[in-house]
Amino acid sequence: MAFLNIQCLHKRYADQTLFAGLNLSVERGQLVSLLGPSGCGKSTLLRTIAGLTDIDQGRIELDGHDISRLAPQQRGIGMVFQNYALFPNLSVFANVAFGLKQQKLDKALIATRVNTMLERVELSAFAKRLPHQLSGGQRQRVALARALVIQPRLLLLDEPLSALDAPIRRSLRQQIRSLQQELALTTVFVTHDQEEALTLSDRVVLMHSGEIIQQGSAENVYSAPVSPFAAGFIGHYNLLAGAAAASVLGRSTLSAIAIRPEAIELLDTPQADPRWGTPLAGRILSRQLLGNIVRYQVQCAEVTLICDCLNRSAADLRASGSAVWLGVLQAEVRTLAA
Amino acid sequence: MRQTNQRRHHSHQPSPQHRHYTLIVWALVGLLALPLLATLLYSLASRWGATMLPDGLTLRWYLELWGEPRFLAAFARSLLLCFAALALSLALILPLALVAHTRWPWLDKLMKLLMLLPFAVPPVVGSVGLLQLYAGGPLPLVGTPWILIACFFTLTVPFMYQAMATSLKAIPLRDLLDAAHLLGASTPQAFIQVILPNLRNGVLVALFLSFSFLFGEFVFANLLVGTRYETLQVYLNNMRNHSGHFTSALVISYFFAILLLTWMANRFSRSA
Ligand SMILES: Nc1ncnc2c1ncn2[C@@H]1O[C@H](COP(=O)(O)OP(=O)(O)OP(=O)(O)O)[C@@H](O)[C@H]1O
Ligand SMILES: [Mg+2]
Repeated sequence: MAFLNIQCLHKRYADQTLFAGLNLSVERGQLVSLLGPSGCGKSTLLRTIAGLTDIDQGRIELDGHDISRLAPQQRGIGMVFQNYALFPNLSVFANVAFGLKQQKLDKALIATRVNTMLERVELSAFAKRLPHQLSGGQRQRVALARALVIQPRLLLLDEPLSALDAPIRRSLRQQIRSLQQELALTTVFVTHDQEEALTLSDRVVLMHSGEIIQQGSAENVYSAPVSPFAAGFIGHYNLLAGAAAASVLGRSTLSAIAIRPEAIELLDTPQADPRWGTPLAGRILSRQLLGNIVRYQVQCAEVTLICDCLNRSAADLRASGSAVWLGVLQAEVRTLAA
Repeated sequence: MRQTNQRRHHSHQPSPQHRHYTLIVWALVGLLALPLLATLLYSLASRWGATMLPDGLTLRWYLELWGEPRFLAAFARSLLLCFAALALSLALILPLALVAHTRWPWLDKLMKLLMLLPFAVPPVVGSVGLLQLYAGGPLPLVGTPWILIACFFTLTVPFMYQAMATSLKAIPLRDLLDAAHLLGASTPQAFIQVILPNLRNGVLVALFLSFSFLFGEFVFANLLVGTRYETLQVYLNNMRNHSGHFTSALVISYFFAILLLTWMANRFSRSA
């Protein structure tokens, strides 16, 4: 039995139906990412779990008990908001202590627990500061500490890193992950950044307009998209259908196909190989340097394909306009449900 | 804000042009302060008749004023009326603003409209209407302080509501309440611990503003109640045939009370 179990969730707003029978389960101690484009209902799903948004129908079970009728105060859920939502009038210490204060715990005990938590997120030196005197990353760590100090049964993170710079985002991401594993805390993490979802989570749940499109391990979701939407959202898949798909595959096909840019080899000669069969002739349209990766746009008959190569040496870079041969790794070609 | 201003000052050399501006500003301030200074001098003069300068200085008028029971009573009444109106305003507008910004957003729009009324209806017109309504009938309030409290309350609504709305819009209200709820606080607890402290400065400024405004209110007070519950301004009006030195002392006393309040309001708004 999963630790968090959402069954047949229905939610409609005045002008739209958002969830029509959504199911989701999260195992104990797992970190699950909800990944999806803006407006697909990630925040709403999180808020219904927390009890901040009413549901129309359905069951939300936490540890075997239906919590869907409980007030947010009684659910024992910690949440971190995208805009931090720190209490502006309270110091860092008081912010973190807030939840424990509501439980009317002994002052000394509160102080010990708050200080331990502040140490964990490396903010002990900032305990007396007000939120507006902190950097974005520090604020988010206060928000995290505030949610964790009440020892929640479930942690919900709503795009906690999206307002931060890339380097801080990466380090904070690791910090969240190691805290989560250390505490074995069941966590739902909302993001619209696929890299974040893939690196961080035990399981990735891909959402689109209120529906779950695909879920599974990061490897599975990344390498085997089930639909054109999934392939378009994750990675930079080449999506082909009809005649285009047939010309690349070398045989006719009814369904659409998806090919990852790194599953196409750039060759100097039309050498055949069991991995890719007969190479396709093409011409480089443009070249984009992405650091360790070089991304080529290649015109191949009527089809334009994106190919990624490792950027091993500057001498290997191909000029636009030059002719190449493309070897499409057949094992990596995904056939999509229409 | 202040930081950018400071930076601008540092980078600015005091150019001759800059000095001109300073001169003009001070000249204007002097011009505006002149009547006040004259009043101050007059209130301190023992006699100032046919001569260029007063004969001598004295605190006689102030002593007389502050020893006058009718003045003290009027002062106390004015204070009482203002405090009562402000208390009423706080008690009614605060919950209203909270509800308008959490539950029912349409209330906010309605209030924006209602806020214009005290400005749209001139006091003379308004008081005539109120006189007709409350002179007799089931609620004969004219001549009692109650009608003034209620009327003063309506005058404070724009200041109070606007101040609260601005403070409420400046914080992520919904997220703060949600966060507090998830941490175990009930809605009243969340308001008291998290929302109200953020409104404090804005509301204090609005209170001071409304106070100085109400303290100087004359038209409603005179027309609706008059001498039956004499306020400071009505008293000043009734004393207009008394010694000019005496009324000058009254005006200066009143002015300093307001100055003190304005200064306090400024202090609070700067720490906000
Ligand atoms: N209070 C509300 N009233 C009406 N519609 C709402 C309300 N809250 C959300 N919605 C709608 O529900 C849909 C999902 O919103 P939600 O905030 O869950 O999206 P999201 O996936 O979190 O997007 P983002 O990545 O931009 O945060 C949107 O189309 C939004 O317009
Ligand atoms: Mg969202």
